[in-house]
Amino acid sequence: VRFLLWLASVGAVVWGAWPQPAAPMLVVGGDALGYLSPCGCTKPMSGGVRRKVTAVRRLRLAGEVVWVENGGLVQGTSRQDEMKAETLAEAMASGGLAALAYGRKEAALGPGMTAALARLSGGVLVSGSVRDPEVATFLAAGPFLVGAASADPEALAARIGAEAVPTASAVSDLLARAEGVQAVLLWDGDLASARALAGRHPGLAAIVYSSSGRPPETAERVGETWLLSPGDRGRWLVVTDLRGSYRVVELGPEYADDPEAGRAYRRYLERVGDEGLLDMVPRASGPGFAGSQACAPCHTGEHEVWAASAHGSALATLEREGHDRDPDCVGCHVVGLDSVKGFRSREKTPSLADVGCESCHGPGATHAMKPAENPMPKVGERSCAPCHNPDHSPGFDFDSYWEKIAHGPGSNVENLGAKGRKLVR
Amino acid sequence: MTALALVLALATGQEAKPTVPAGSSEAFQTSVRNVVADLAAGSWALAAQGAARLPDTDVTVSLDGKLLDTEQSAEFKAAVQEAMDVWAEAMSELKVSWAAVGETADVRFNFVPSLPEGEGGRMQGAVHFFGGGPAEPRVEAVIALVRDTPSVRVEAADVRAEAAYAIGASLGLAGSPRPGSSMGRTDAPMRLKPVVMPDERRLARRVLELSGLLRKAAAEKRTVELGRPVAVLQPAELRLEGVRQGEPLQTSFEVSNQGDGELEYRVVPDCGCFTVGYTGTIAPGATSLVQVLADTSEFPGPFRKALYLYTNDPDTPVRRIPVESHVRPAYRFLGPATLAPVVLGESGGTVELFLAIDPDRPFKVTAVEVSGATGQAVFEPWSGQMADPELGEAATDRQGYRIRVLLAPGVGPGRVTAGVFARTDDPKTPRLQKTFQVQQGIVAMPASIYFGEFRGAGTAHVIVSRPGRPFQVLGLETDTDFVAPSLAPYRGSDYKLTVRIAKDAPKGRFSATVTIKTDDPGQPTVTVPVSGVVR
Repeated sequence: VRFLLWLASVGAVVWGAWPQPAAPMLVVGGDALGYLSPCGCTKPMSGGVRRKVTAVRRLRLAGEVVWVENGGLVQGTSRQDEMKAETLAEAMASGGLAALAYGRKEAALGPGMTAALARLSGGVLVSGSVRDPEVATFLAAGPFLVGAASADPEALAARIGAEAVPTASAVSDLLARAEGVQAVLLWDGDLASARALAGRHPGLAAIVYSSSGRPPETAERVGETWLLSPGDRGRWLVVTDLRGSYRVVELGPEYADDPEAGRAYRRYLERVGDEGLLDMVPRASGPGFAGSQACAPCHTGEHEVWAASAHGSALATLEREGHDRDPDCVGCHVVGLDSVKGFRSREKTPSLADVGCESCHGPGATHAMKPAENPMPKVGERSCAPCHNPDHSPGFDFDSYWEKIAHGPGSNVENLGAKGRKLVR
Repeated sequence: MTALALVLALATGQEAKPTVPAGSSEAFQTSVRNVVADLAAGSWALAAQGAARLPDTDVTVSLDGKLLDTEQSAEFKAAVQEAMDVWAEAMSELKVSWAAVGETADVRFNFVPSLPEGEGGRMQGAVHFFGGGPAEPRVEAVIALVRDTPSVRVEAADVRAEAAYAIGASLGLAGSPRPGSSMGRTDAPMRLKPVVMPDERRLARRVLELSGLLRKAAAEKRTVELGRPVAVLQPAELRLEGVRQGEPLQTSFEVSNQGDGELEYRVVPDCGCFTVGYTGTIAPGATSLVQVLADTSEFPGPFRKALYLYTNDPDTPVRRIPVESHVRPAYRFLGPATLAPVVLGESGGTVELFLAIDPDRPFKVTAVEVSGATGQAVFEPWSGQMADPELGEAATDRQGYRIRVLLAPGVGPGRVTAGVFARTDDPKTPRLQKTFQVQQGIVAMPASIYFGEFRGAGTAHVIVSRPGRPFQVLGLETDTDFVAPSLAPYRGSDYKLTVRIAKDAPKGRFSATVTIKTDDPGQPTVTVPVSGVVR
C-alpha cells in the first residue's frame, strides 16, 4: 500500500510539473556543439540528446509543440564530428523535430554530410542562405513558418559549392511567405546581430540566436520580435508561446533517457569503437611515462591511497558506461593520451590505464630512473582543473575531493603500515 | 585556470533569527514549519511531539533481513555497520547504534526483490520513506536486491552507500549531486566508500542545533520566529573592460542581506576559469564583498560567462550573474586549413598556417612538430594583413609566424585528423596545438553510409571525390543482396554514390559494404561501409 501511494505521489509530482499550455508552444534548442550526452563520470549533470527528446515528448503530452533546433550540432569536422552530427540528427528526428537550422558548422562538414543530415533529420534541414536541393528554404510547422539564415552566407555556401543568398533577401523571403502565420528565424549569429536584424525586419515573431552558457532567464524583445537563445552544449530548452509565456528547461537527471534516442546513442558509441577513433588521436612527442606501478616501490603509502581511490579505477568507470573507446572521454581517465608515449589501450599500456600518478604530476620516466637528479614538479589544485571542470565535474570542490586522495607531505596522512593510510582529522 | 572569491564583511549586522538551513531535506523543513506553527498556536503538546521527532544526536538503526539468506544477512548487516561508523567517525557527537529488540528505530532497512525504473531510466536501488508518527522510523529505506538497467545484484558496497544516505536523511539532509559523498546516492552500483563531506557535517550540525532549539522552546512553552533572509546583489551584472588573453579578469560584487535571518550563499561558476566557488554566511543587515578573479588563458574573443549565486533566500534561491568582457587573443592560428580538409596529391601536400601573436606580449616559437600524419614543419617570422573569421575580425595587421607543414603522401586512402604542436618559450603557453583534416586518394564523404533506424525501403548517398585528380569508376559491387548501389556524376569530377535498401530487407541490424572499382591502379577499390537498423 505504501509503495502504491509512493508511485501515485511520484506520478502526481510529474504531472503537476507540467501545466497545460493554452497555445502551441515553440520549443527551442541548438548549439549542442558535439555534446551528445552529459559526461558519464560524475552525476547528475545537465544536457544530452536523450534527455532532450524525453523533455520534448513530455511537453507534447500537454499540448501542441513545435520543436526547432538552431544548428551548431558540432564544433569540428573530424570523423567523430560526422558521427556526432548524424546521431544528433537521427535522435532528434525520433522526437519529432520540426526544423534543424543549417549553419556554418553543419556546412563545414561538406556536401556529403549535408545530404546525410537532411535524411537523418527527417527532411527538416532548413536555411534561406543557400540554394541546395538537400536544404529547405522554409518549413511550415504548426502556427509558425520557420526559416534560417547565416551571418556569413558566402562562407556557408562556398563550403558546399552552392549559391549564397544575402541575409536581407533570405529574411524578406521568409516574411513574404509568412502571411497569416508567425515567422521564426533561426539565426546563425550572436545577440548583437540578432538585435540589429530584429530592428531591420520588425515582422519577425522570433529570432533564435547563438550564445554561450545558460539561456537568459527572461526573453528580450525588440519591438514585437522575441529574441531567444537555448544556450550552448545542449543543456537547455527554451519553451515559449511567443505571447509572454517563457521558461528555461534545464535537462537534468529528472529527465530519463528516451529509449529511441538512447538506441541511436548506443549505436554511436559502437561506431566510434568500431572505427578505432581512439587510435587516431593526434599525439605529440615528449618525455616518457613510468606508469603508476613504477611509483609504488618508493611511494608505497601514496600508491595505496591511489589504488583505493576512484582515480585508481577511472578507466573501469568508462568501461562500465561503454565510453572506453571514446576519445572525448578517455583523455581524462588515463595517462598521456595526447603523447606518443602515453596510453594506447588497457592491453598495450596497462600501467597507463586509469588516472595515474603522472596524470597530475606529469611524465616521470626520468624521475623513476634517477629520482634525486630528476625531482618531480610540485603540483596543486591547477592540475585538477583540466578534467575537474564545471562541464565534467560540476560538484567539484577541491578541499572535499582532496580528502579522498590525500597523500604526500603535509596532507594529514599518517602511515598505518599494512593497513595503508588513514586521514587524520 | 584559477579564480578566487574572497569575502569581506562590510558591516556589522543585527542579531539573526534562526533559519532553516539550506541543503536540508524537504521532510525536515516541513517538520520544522509544523512545529513552529504549533508553537505559534500555543499547541504545546503537539509542538513537543513534533519536536521530539526532529533529528537528534542519538540515531538508532534496525535491519529487517527476512528476504536475505544467512550469508547476505551477515554481509549486509556488516555493511550497515560500516555506514554507521562512517557517520560516527565524522561527527563525534553522534551516537549511532542498533535499536533494541522491540524498539522503533530511527532508521530502518528492509529489502525487496526489485523496484521499478526511476526517473533516470534505471531500476531504482532504493526508495526512502519519511515517517510521520511516533511508531514509525524517521527514515525507512527499502533496498532492492537488484538495481540499475541492465540489472545487477546488490552488493554490500551498495548497501553501505544506501545506509550512509539513509542515516544522513534521518539527520535532515537532502540528497547531494556529489558522487562519493554520503548523500550522493545513485541507482547505479555504488562501489565508493561514502565520505561525510565537510559541508555535510556542517549542515547536519545546523540541523541538530535548530532541532534542539525547537525542542527547548516546546518544553519551555514559548514561540520561535524563523528568520527570512533576503539577498540583494550589487551590481547584478558584471560587464568589464577588455583584457589580454592570460591576464586575470578581476571584479567584485556585493551581496547584502536585507532580511532578518542569516543568509547562506554559495557562488558557483559556469566555467573552469572560475575554479573556486565560495560558501559563506551574511548576518541580517550586513553586506559581503565577493571578489572574482578569472583566468582568461583559454578564452580569446568575447568572454561571456556567468556565476550562479545559490542562497537560502526563499524568494530567489538561485541567481545568474553574467560576467562579460572581451579577451584580446595572445595568439591565433589563422589560414585556410580550418574548415575544408587538406587534400594530398601523389607527392603529398602543403598546409600553410599563420600563428598570429599579440605584439604586446610576444613569444618565440622554438619548434613545430607534425602529428597524426607523416611530415615536417618549417616556420619563419611573418607579418601581414589577415582576417579572423571565427572571432568576426576583419583583415588587419598581424605578426607572428608562418608555418608551412609539408605532408608526405603516407596517410593512405582516406581522411585523418592531423595537427601541429608548436613549442614556445612562453611558460604560460609552452605548447600550442592546431588540428586539421587531411585527405588522400579517392575518399567517400562521409566515410560510411549510416541509415540509422528506418522502416520500409531506404535511400542514402555519399559524395566520392578526389579533388584535382579526376578518376573513372569501372564498376560497383556489394556483398549483400538487399543493398543496391548506383553512381552518378556530381558537380564536375565527383560522383554521387546512392545506396538503396530494399523494402524486403530483413529486420534488425545490418552492415554491408559497397565496393567501388576505379581506374586508379594505386587505389583500385574504394569501400564504403553501410549500416543501419531495419525496424
